[in-house]
Amino acid sequence: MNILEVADLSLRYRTPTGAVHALRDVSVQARAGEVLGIMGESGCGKSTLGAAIINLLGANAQVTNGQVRYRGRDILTLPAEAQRRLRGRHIGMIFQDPMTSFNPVLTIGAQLVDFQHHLDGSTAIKRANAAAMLARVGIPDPALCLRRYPHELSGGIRQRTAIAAALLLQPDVLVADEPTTALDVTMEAQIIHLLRELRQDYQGAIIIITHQLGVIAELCDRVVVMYAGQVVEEGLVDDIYHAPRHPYTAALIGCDPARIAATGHRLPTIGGRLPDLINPAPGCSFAPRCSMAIDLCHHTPPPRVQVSTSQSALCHRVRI
Amino acid sequence: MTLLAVQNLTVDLPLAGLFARARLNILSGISLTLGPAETLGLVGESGSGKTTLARAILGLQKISAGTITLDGKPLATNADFAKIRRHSAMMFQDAVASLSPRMTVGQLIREPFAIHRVPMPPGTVAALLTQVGLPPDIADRYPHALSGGQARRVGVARALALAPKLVIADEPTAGLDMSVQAEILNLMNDLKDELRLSYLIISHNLALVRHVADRIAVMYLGRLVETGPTAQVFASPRHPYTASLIAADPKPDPRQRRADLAIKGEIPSVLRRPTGCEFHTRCPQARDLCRTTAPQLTEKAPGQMARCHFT
Repeated sequence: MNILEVADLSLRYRTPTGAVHALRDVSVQARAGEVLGIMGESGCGKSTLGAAIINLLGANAQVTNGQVRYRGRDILTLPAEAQRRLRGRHIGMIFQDPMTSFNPVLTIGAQLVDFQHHLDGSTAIKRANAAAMLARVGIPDPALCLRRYPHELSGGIRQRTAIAAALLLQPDVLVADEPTTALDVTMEAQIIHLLRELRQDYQGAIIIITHQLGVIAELCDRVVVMYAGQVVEEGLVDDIYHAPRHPYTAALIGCDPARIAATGHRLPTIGGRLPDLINPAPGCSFAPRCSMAIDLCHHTPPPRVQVSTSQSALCHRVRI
Repeated sequence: MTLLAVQNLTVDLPLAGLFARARLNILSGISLTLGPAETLGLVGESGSGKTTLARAILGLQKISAGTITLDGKPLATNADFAKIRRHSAMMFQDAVASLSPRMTVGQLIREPFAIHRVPMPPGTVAALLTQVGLPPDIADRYPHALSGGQARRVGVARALALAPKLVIADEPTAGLDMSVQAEILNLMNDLKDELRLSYLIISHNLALVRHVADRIAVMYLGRLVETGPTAQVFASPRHPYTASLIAADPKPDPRQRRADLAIKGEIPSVLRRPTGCEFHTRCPQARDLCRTTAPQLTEKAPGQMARCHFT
């Protein structure tokens, strides 16, 4: 069942130089019990999509088309108060840098109790809930952690605490935007391990937004690849890494040095630049950088080709 | 012939306040060499002392003991280090933050010449920008108008301005996208061949280090725990910490998912340095000996040294 559905979402940011078309006809579904990865480079719209899902878009963002449906209900048109009730409780978020998502002048305990403000029960019970959740995410001394301020925690513990905070209200959709980017490789491995372990008893959908191909490969069941504000490919994680059908996906995966065993001299690159999102070209947005592009690609928007029941690509050149 | 030799380098920092005379050991007994046109990759977690070591080599951090020689000349006084800074360059981790927001790209590239009072031949700015793959007209822009990859390239151009022999790069691709990272690594590799540069690359990105470094040095809590030729170390690491780091690196292939967690816990604080082998608190192979006696760096294979009682 789809818990969350983004349907034909188009969104633009008003800027002094013109409207930036940050999302163009984006459709994504997140199902109960699955981990969905949203992969792409800076400026492809993945964080905008994350912000739209939890409805934390900036004031200059304007939705021009489409819906974000949570359990069938369009959340973009809800009144502000109803949206606020949804956030945290039904749709939780883990940010890249938990240092900026916690209040620096309150202890972790005070904040974790605060997050449960709409629940019944005494402060003592809420504090006990918080301690139990901290223990659940592998924090060695939860009672001590509750008394700490955010700056007193190490990066890894802080990210665990942020995960505990997000899980505290048992949301059915958990969005994690670059959850391991600010961490060391050893802490990253531990957070990946933790998220993988948590999903065993988590009934909701987890959405991981990252540019790190390794994190998606380790964690996700399904992947959505974004480029220039569009979903260019979607598929099961194994197909995306081993049988990508969109030239951009193939190029992106190809230039990761971790994929190349030999200490080769040159890494493959994609070349060219991201397209102008103020005046998007009429054809395929990847065409100027694509090695397979033909005339048609430059002039005509590409079709979304369903290559299997689970995989689709937005490309003229893909064949079933 | 070595370009840079670091012998038994130690850095202690005084503790502030009540214990003003107590000193905190940050780096201890670091010995490294770097040959001409060689790339050494320095890896380790945050807090392992990688950046402190780089700062010490450039004379930006006072050393407590040990020697640093560049091109056979020992560096001791500030004047010596001023000279090394003329022949060596640093690429900083945060490329945008390392560029003054009040100067244009052109001014930023001219700055090293002014600081070292080196006459600048006409056309240098355009030539350097071209060399790092930027259009010359970018010289009139301010840093805020650059993309992450462009700012990184400006950082490379600044580092190359005075034709250095040694380039120290602290996380040269942190925060860059995969395709841009590949471009920067290719650029650094090309320049190395073209200008016979030696690189000291500090990174916790193992895939990057494996790709660019000829030799690798692994640090843990201010000590070198393993050094050796990159391919050899990746194929058969002789220190459990190196092995754990390699195993912890996520593989971009869903068919190679890790079943188990390679390394638990966090790097201990230098304020509470473990006794014996510093890594014993997290080491899967630790035995009693490790808790009491610190192992020495010994040769485990040709050219490969590790600091471990076992392996």
